[in-house]
Amino acid sequence: MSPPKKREPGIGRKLLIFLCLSSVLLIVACTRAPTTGWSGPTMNDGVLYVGSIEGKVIALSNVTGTSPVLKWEKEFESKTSGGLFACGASLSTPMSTYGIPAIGGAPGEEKLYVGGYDGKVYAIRLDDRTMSDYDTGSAIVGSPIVASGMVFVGNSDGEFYCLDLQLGKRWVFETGGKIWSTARVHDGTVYIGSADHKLYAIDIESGVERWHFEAKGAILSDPLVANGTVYVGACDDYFYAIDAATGSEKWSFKANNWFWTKALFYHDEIWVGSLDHNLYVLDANTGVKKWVFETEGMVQSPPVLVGDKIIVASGADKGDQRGKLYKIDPVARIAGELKSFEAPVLAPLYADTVNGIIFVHAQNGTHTLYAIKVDDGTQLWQRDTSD
Amino acid sequence: MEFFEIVLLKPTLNILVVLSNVFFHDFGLAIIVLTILVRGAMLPLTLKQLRSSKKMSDSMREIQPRLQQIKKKFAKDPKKLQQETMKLYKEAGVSPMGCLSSPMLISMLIQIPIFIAVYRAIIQALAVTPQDFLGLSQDLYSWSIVHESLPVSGTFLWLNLGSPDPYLIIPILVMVTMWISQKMITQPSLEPQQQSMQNMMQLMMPLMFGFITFSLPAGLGLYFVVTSLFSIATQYFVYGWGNLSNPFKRSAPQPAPAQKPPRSYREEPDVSEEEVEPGSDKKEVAKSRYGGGFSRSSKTSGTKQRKGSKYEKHQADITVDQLSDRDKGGKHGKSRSKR
Repeated sequence: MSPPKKREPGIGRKLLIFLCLSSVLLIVACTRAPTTGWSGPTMNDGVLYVGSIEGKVIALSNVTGTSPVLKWEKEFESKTSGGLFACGASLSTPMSTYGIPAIGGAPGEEKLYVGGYDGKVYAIRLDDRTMSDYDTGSAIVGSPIVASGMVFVGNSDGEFYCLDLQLGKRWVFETGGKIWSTARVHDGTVYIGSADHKLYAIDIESGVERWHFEAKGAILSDPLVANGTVYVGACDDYFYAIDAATGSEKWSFKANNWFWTKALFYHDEIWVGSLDHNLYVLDANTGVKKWVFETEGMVQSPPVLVGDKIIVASGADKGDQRGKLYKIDPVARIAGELKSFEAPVLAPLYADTVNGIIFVHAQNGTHTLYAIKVDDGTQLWQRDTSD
Repeated sequence: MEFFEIVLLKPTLNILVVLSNVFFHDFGLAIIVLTILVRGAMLPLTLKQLRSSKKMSDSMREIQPRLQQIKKKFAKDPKKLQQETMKLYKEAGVSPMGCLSSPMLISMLIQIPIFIAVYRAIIQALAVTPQDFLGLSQDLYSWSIVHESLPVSGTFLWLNLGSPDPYLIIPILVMVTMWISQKMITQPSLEPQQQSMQNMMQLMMPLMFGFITFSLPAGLGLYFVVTSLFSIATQYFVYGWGNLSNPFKRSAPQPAPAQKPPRSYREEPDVSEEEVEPGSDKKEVAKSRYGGGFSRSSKTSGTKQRKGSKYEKHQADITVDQLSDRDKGGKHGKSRSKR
């Protein structure tokens, strides 16, 4: 009697395993990656602060030299969802941060305020790095701002918070959509855009709405206030000038794609980038297009003024993931490439106007911080903030 | 890839966003309507595929006895076995490729990219993260209705469509509807290995999709559920309740509907298990062929049953040798008559 043969896995079983695995891979491949954030840097007393992909805030000193020094870093305790299935709740990845950290508080008691994608506003004392937080309950994408002794921040549930400097709640204003933009405070009024297509003007003391302006698309860009006018772009391809006192529309300008970023006011001109790759120069009073400069990617980061030059960055394009930095002479209307990066520039730039340096946080999987001299595009240093 | 995006993904995405505007700014309704529209547009192909599949499985079942005979007869001559098998397939009009045969393959190949496009369009339109929403800007048409509809409302019934269902109702619905859908159309196989694969597939696929849905946005789970419900409705018109009429039966083979049993069965229907020699593996062959849970047949196999539903039980008792012998005029039949 022959011994029983060991049963080999049949082709059917192999096919089954293949089908199962390929289905899982297909679903995973078709699902977006978890959020990674894009935090812009800010500077105070020669120290540069920036949020990282790993759920940390890092503070760098000696940033105007060629070798910055890590002064300190502070890790947030929470984690946000993500992981294997991209939107997974069971697995987690480090919390990412969007927006720019804000600095506020009485002298000697300054704090760094950071909005986390976990929905918390973190306040870190700059002297002893003790940290406190306030949970808004939903992801924070816009930057917190500090004005008139208050902290203003919106979250993805459409709630706009006014907190005191110790993160105690003063009031909450509810909108009908996600708040991913950063507020602007001017003359006792705070202006904030929402994905419910509205720009709200709210009294900073009472939290009561003064007026709202309704666009045809979500307002995710930050408003700019100048000369009694609020300038803001929307996801309906229009850029609007709105009377700051009444909320009525003064003029509008149509681009070929959304406006995602804040404008720059320069000599009665509005300089604003669009996701259609263009940087538009508009007459601030009439909205008439005066000049346009085409970049090689979506303009997601606001243009900044350094000396007498305007610097603008381009982000990703479908075919090209390289980010670029352009230097523009706003009078002569001459533009040229200042620097090219391997990764797109999605985060806001920080301009050190005293030293003529631009700090760029470019990201593509990993985040890298660059210091670039505006004069000639020389790179002073670069540092991986994902470490 | 660019062709896929221009021809399938972008139109699907934009239509989905428009639907969310038309249907009361309710993205859940938009997902349901789009899924029904897409499945409805592909209905002729789906029906063709189902009918073709049904026809093939009927034919396959019909030739099984002869196939077993051939296997037995040419067990030691693989080349001849292959030739005879192919000849039999050709005579019966059966494709050895099964579900991979044309036109089913063509039908599947057309449908798969469309399903992927709908799936990806839902993910993109939900735009859970800022990166997603930013990316969305590059895939939208310049229609004002599209831009006015964004961002889509993520609330539908108890669900936040951009997050996993906290009550796990959607993953459970995905599992149940997918299992029903598969159970309805799976035709029992006479091959034990194939049968085992089918059984595992029936269980594994719903479990796997359910598991994945635990961590996916509920909007995608909703898409899976509507897709499965549509499949169930479509299959009902082709198969009826099919294999689902007895959901917990271990897929025992049944004779093809409206077909007479092979001639040899009718001539010599009565075969008892005593005819299987003790110690031989014939009984095991029969058992494995019809599933381990089908032992009830041994109690009835000694009686003569020619009509109605009892024929099925009788058929399950026939061993490979018996089939083979009966076609030759069978010694078992003769020996029985001597008893």
